Amino acid sequence: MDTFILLFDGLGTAMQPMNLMFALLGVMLGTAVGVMPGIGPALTVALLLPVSLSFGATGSMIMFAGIYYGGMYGGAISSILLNTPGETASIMTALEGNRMAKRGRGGKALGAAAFGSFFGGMFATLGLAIVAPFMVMVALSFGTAEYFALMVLSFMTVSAAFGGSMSRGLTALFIGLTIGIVGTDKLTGQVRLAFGIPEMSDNISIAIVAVGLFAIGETMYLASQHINHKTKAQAVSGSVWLNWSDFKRCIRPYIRGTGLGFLFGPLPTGGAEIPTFLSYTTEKRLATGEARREFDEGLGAIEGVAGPEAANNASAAGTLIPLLTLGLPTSATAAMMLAGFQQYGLQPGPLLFTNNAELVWGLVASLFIANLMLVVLNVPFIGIWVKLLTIPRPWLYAGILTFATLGIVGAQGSPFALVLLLGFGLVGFVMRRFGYPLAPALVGAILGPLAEEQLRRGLMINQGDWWFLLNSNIALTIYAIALLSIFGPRLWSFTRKAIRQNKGAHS
Amino acid sequence: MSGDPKNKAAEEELRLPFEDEPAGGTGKRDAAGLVIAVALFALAAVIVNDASGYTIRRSYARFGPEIVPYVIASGITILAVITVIMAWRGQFEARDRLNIGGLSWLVGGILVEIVMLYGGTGFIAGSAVLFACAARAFGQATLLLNLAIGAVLSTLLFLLFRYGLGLSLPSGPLERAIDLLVR
Amino acid sequence: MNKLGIAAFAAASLLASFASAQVSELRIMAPAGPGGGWDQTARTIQSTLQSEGLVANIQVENVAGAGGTIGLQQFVNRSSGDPTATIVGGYVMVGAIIANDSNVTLNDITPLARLTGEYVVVVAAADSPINNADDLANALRENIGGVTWAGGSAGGVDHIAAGLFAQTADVSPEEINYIPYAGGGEALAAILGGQVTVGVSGFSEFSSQIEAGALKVIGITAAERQNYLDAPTFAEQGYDVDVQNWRMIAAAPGISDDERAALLDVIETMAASDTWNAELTTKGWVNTFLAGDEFAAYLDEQIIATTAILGDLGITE
Repeated sequence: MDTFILLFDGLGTAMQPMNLMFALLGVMLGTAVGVMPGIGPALTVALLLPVSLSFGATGSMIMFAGIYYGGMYGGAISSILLNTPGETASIMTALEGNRMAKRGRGGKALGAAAFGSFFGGMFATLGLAIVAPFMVMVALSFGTAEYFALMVLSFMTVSAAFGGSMSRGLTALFIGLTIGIVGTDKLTGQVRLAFGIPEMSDNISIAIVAVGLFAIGETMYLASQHINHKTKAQAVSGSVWLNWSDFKRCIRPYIRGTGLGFLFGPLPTGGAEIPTFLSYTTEKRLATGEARREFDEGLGAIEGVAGPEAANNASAAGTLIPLLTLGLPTSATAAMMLAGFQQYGLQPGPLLFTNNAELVWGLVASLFIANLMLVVLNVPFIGIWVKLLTIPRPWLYAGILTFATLGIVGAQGSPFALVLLLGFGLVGFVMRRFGYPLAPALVGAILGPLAEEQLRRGLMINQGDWWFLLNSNIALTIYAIALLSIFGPRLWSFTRKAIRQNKGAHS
Repeated sequence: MSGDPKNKAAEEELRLPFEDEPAGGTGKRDAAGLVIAVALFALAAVIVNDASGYTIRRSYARFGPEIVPYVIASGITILAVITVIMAWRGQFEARDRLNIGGLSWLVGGILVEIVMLYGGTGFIAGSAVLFACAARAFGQATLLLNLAIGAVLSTLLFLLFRYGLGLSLPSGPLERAIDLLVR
Repeated sequence: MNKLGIAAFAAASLLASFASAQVSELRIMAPAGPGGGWDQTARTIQSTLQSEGLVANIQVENVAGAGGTIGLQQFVNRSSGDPTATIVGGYVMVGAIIANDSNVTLNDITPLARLTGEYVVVVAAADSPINNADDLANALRENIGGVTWAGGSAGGVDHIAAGLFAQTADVSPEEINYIPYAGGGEALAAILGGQVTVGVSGFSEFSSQIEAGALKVIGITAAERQNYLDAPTFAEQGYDVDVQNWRMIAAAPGISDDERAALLDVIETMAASDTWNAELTTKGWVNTFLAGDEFAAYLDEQIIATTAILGDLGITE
């Protein structure tokens, strides 16, 4: 097994004290910058890449991996504690994570996220080392029909995030779809819903939508309530740390999330969104007992944090497969990694594994190390992060707003971003006040344009013939899964009930 | 959230996905709900109006950029009708009384920051004001202290962004003065 | 570098600025978000000028949006007459200004130099029946809609290259079945998977697949053969398609001739430096330096030609 010999060589290099230092530094910097809403791992890497360059190829690669994983985890921290998912990968984390934080279980949520990231990253990286060539074939066999089917599957399962009311969930979804069409249509260059404002002729950044709807909308909602905010909030109830029973609840979501992330990571559908959505909805559907109650009553279920966090790190490792073997960046993060590789004179593509075997395995090894460092560094700090919540509320919320506006304005470079942020904040506030769920709006804004593009590309390739959608076994299989995911549980409980009644009649 | 959770879960399992949950609302006609419905109708109208103005381009897809907006607008119209019914039957849950003062301080703070950034006063001053107003919105009436904390926080953030990351934030006199000092 | 060092350096360069190609202060606007091509160009210029000691204090400012036209607008409005203000831009901007009907154009700034460029290649999967430009032209004449092109955004340089090829092959550019992807990288999967007939994008997007033999080159849009690619140009095959996705640096409007000359001097020294060329090599960029009046004339030509082809492609009326 050449693969493993090379991997162990790589690990040996990465374990040198100096390189461990670089990993540590990278994780620290990445976490610190990643906490800021609107600044996700991709931008974190873009901003800090020049910093890492002065440490030589190996050192900078390790630091780069550290910054990346740190940035991912930073996003989870702000999602869980502040309910401000600044990037798409951690939207699903915010749903249950923030509910947990509000009930004093923020520490556990952070722990579940840290171990989930570790678990997902570790096993998916291992998977990367073993099945990369096979996964590439899968990715290449996906055309527009298969991608469109995948979008349909995601849309069908999103109803799990609807909460109590179907009509309000759908309304939120359609508001999101509307946000998704704003900007230049990629296939024709037609500008849609921009009202002549140049800043709106680009597609609206999902970071602005997410921070506006969640963070700004939420603070507006809180400010609109007659509560004395100066009373001390309960930051921690019970232990901050995960105990064995928490951990047991996380294991299955970790495994499922890792599987989903690793499967979907290599597909050019934009990265971590679809696997995190699917992971969340899977956990919500499968929940029983205590977890079922926590999901249903909005108490915050740890499974809803564990699954998506494992999925997003696993998908990050999955993203590396087409990147390394084809030079095909499937997400913003992967595009940044590509830029990173080029700095070391690495040209990702079919020849990379033969021409630069040492560097590739060095990179894979540094991913392992950075992943490990993330847990080592961040788990002891969870107690400190949670203390954030003990800052007097008025200043805490004011601080969240300052961070949110800084992240958005810094990344966009224009005050107009703030106007949009205020607009989405108001929309989020109204939705919150009238019991509309927020997550479907984001799902719509992300998936809507992807689905439209794939459909229209497919129609262009097939010159207007709609049958191409069904002319693929992979697509048909995905449609079957979609139908099963909706009607399956009901059919199952229906048959179970019928059997029970049948038995009752006989006895 | 009352009632036996087990029963509730069982109910949810049996419901078909297209049915709405039995109303937990107030049962009274809801003017605010009607306003939301009107807003949805207006949104649909705006989308249709926009889409009807697109240049027709020849394409092999026979599926132009206007079709998806039309589909979305139709969906929103249907949902707006459902919203009217919901508001009429009073199916929205009861809401707490609005704290207009708190909300106004918050929205006002963001508006002031937008005006200040367009006016060229720079990031530090703008976000210090936002910080002060936002804290006021949550009942911290010590405006000067808020302003001071906000100024310190945003100066630190500015330094981190400008010199740590090399990102540019909107600059005003204060930022330029810091730039001169750092040089 | 510590503060003292910077201060000493600034003082030294201030003294020296009268002597040779040196400027004490420079601001570079990258009209795009951090991480993109223009941002990388701006930051590479920044690091080169600093390490070569040509400029003491340089800042990069990002203003993203609308193909660079938002940054351009802000640049023209705020920096008029300021000799320390520069902006990075490129071919994409020419198209974006036309397509967005921007009220500020490249005529409103003072062009300094074209720095780098990348030629566009048309490729096909290794087992494709299309082997050269003639095959492609014949396929187009036979069934223009049946030839699918995967490339970058609508109206971008890839689309323009495809349209120019259609023109030289005597078919209507407006009728080509061009399928835009977010970039050449995303299009790659569709090309390798055989879902489209040909791919068209910048050389670097396809270079590793070409090297590995997974893609074959139908033609490159350079006027002469390129030493890094063992494949014929379109011009060699009788199809006169000459397009490059160039990047430039320009100065503010309303600066004096002396100020322009001083900036040009700095940029020329930079472009000739080993540091700059080493940076270009690692990034895979080709140095297509063209400065001063020649570049200004080139820019005018490009604007006229691009306006025409965008009309022919049906992007603008």
